[in-house]
Amino acid sequence: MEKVIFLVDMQSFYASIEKSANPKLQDRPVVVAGDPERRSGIILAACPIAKQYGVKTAEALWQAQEKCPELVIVRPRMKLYIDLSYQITQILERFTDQVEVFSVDEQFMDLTGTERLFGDKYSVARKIQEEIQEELGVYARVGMGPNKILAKIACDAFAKKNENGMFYLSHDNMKDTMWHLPVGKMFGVGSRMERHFARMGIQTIGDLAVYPVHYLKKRWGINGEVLSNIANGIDYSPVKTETHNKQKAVGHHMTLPRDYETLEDIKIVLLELCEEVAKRARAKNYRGHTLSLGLRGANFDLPTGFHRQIKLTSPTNYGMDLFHAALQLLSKHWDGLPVRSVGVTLSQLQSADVYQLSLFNPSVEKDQLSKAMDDIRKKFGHTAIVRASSLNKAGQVFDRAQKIGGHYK
Amino acid sequence: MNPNKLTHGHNLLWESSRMMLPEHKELIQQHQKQLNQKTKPELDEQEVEWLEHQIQEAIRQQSTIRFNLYNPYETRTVVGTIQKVDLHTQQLKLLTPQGDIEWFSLSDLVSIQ
Repeated sequence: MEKVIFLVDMQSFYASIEKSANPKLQDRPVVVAGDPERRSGIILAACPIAKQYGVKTAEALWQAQEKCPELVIVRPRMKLYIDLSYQITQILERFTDQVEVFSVDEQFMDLTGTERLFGDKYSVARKIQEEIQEELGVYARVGMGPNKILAKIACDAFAKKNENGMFYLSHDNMKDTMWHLPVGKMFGVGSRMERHFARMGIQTIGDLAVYPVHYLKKRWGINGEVLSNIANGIDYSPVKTETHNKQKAVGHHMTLPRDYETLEDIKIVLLELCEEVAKRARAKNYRGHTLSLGLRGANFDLPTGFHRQIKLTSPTNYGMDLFHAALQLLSKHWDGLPVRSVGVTLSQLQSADVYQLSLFNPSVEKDQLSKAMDDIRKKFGHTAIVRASSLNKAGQVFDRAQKIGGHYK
Repeated sequence: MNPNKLTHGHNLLWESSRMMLPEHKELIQQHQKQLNQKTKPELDEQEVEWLEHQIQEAIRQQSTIRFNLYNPYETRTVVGTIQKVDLHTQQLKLLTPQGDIEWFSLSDLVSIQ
């Protein structure tokens, strides 16, 4: 039996929420943007009116203001957006228990076998749109298909442009619709891949679909076959509700408020990142065996930086262990140029309940120390106890403590 | 072999390309946990009588028995011999085969094996 999969997407989610929270903004061009002072000054979301002026998501705030001087700028409230996204999940669960959250503003649903309960897919889609509009004042678009990839493409390429905000893409109509789209618009094709395809004479998704798959496999391996499948509307992935339960890695990344040029400054944020990652790993009861460090240079025109990983001597969730490994990577791979952003990730996770005792590495003491710090933070707040180095000017903990995803809560 | 993006029944195609804030994931995980939450079964008179009988029998014979206790997320079991029944606090004191003492509340008791 053919499945019925929906991808429900919120139009300019953050901006729509701010507009429905403040009716005075209803007819004005609104953007949600980060703080330019702290270099997070990019457009996170633009409402349809702002988009008419040519304002685009992810461009710099000053560029947007140039296009539209009367632009209303709202600071992001990440906590609120997450809570409302969760509220939408609960609305969708009225129709099916098979709901998979894909991002803050996109969620998959598997509605196979619900026709007799709620009617055909178009009326379900309309009901979903109405309930979200009614309860949150946000306009939802619905992509529909026999699998997730067709639902996703139906939403991105067609439902968003349709009058009624919905589109059904199937294996029957994809040749007349999806295949005419430029290949660069396809899910999984970035600008680099698009250039490769252009050189091979592949312009549209249809060109890619009929291109012999063994050539693609030879050149790109598994990914070549994946892209060929997508172009042919083939996807066997289930809608998986518990997809967020198992974690593969714990990572933390930040863009610095200014370019850091000295090793001393970088070390300070590096330790903070390691402490944060370790703290989150402990909260989830994990130890990790591999640490990776990513660093990006400050000069946009001459991209520098690296992303390297190192195997730790034993699985750990102690901040200082992570820091020593990260420092090792830093001293080996950093070219000495100013740094714009740093990220630390702990992977190869395993349960923290079982671990090997090491003769020369006093892990029990580390555990007790970590636990004491966690307990203090739990009771008195995230910044109740910090490394002395964080009091330095380069330290970011006090600023980060007020934020979610680098933006104010 | 490890699953890859082509493996049927896996979700790697989507899991490898998404962006989610940890705070958001946390909320969804909590929600999933709540969905699986079980309500406490209500025992009828005969079941309560039967439990009482089993407890009396176990005390008399000093036999080791297994108690299934209610928990919203997964049923908990404790094994041991009954040492004492505190009727005032409605609690039962057990001596486990490992020699530990364990107390549990009679109101959590679901069944005895």
